Amino acid sequence: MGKIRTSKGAVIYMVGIRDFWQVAHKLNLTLIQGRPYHNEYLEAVLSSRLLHVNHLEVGDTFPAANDINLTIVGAYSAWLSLMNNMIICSDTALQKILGRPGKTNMLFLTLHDPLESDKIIERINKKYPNLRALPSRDLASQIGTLTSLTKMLDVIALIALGVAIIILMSTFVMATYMRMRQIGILSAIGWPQPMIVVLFVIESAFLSIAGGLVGLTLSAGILIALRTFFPNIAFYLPETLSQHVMLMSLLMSIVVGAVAAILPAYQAVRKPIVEALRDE
Amino acid sequence: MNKSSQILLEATHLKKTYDGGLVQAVHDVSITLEKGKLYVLSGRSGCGKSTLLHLLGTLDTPDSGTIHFEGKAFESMDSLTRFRRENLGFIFQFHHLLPLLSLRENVETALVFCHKFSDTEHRERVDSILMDVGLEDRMHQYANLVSGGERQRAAIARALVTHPKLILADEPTGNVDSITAKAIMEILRNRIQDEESTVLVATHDPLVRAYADTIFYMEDGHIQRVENAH
Ligand SMILES: Nc1ncnc2c1ncn2[C@@H]1O[C@H](COP(=O)(O)OP(=O)(O)OP(=O)(O)O)[C@@H](O)[C@H]1O
Ligand SMILES: [Mg+2]
Repeated sequence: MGKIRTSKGAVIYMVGIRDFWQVAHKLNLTLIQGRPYHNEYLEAVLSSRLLHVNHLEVGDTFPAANDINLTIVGAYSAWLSLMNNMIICSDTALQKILGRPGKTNMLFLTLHDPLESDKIIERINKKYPNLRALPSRDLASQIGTLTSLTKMLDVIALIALGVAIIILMSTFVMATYMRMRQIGILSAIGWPQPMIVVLFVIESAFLSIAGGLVGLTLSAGILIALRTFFPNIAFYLPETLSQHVMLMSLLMSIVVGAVAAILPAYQAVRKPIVEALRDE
Repeated sequence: MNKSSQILLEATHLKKTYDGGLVQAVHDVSITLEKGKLYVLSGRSGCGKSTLLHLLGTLDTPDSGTIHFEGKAFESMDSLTRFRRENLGFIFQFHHLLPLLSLRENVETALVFCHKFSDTEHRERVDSILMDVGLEDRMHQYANLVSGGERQRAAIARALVTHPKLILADEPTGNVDSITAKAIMEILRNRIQDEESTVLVATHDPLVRAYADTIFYMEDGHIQRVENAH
């Protein structure tokens, strides 16, 4: 594996592997154009994004190192945008490019009996202390900088999401508590308690859909701004918000809003009505 | 007609304390309300008027004592919510309208789950009650944007629109001038004549007493004296 930096400052990872399908399978890549590279040639498969950004096409060549040109034979697309900055070629090609002939930092073994894998891994690790054997299921988490970076970003995103949910929840919980008196009024004039809870939950959900839409609009705007003003990170960003992302965000806001209203509304209808009415 | 069929509500030995028994808000109160009468509960601030009204209106439960409505004990009722919806109209000391609804919508909230009338009757009742309280021109205003007197009148309309058997009014004239106060009492008085409701008004406003059939004078949580006007 290697790293190169483009003129714009973005980092591109070079992955050398004997069989393209191995890496494609592990990292969830789809070959959308062309074919995999031949092992003995200086050929490569690039992400379609890389091609697009660098105005390259399948069939073009590009200089991977001094006097070494790689022919682009295929393009892949990846689900994770971080996987979009890879040049994948054969291990021998990469050894040449990096000037380290004969050096390999990863081997895949196919076992006759996959159930034996744990035993074999143990044996290898014991016998060759400077090798580290891993089952293929752990590959994704051990593949180095690329994945740990992806993972770190995922973790950051998850933390951000968690914080956002907590803030939203507490806002909605507070908002419903502040309306204790209104819940008391409706109880006093004889609205069925379950209806009151449902009413407040629906209202809260609607409010959060509105919030979700505002949030999506903002993110779309920020995305465009980032892509325009910081072209060197544009690379890591999705081109547009996918439908999937939009749907999930809206769904999430509805759920957060609804869940946050249930408990306080339920508590409010359970309270003696005079107390709810006294509430400010 | 015999006497018992005239009785709407009968409360005996009601007691309600606060702060672990330190404050005796209502102390051994027994009262009987007959159908088609206007009662006034009079007394100084803090004597327990609101507390008693809340107990009679099922908004709070007494520490001891019983309340029967048309012969049926509150404890034995399946749903106090439905009981309130069908039989009671509240006019609160602080009007308690929903701020983000118009005055008309506030009145309509009382009818949403009330199945006494048809949809057409609902509309007619809302129209006529808003006319009675003089809000026909103001009914589309939001409750938080109108004057205190208008809010109070909307609250009265909301209490009356379901044609309740018992109207419990807590200082209905508390925040209005004497002319509006008289108008409000006229409305309540007329309701008794037109729809045979019973009204219980808690107040320390002497003006209100002139409209009463019976006045309960309350002091320190119990009823000191009962005065019949006629
Ligand atoms: N939730 C409560 N906790 C403690 N004490 C209370 C509570 N509610 C009422 N009290 C006390 O009970 C007594 C009766 O109160 P209540 O509100 O019934 O009086 P009131 O006659 O309606 O007074 P006002 O004319 O000022 O409305 C007062 O001493 C009051 O301080
Ligand atoms: Mg009071």
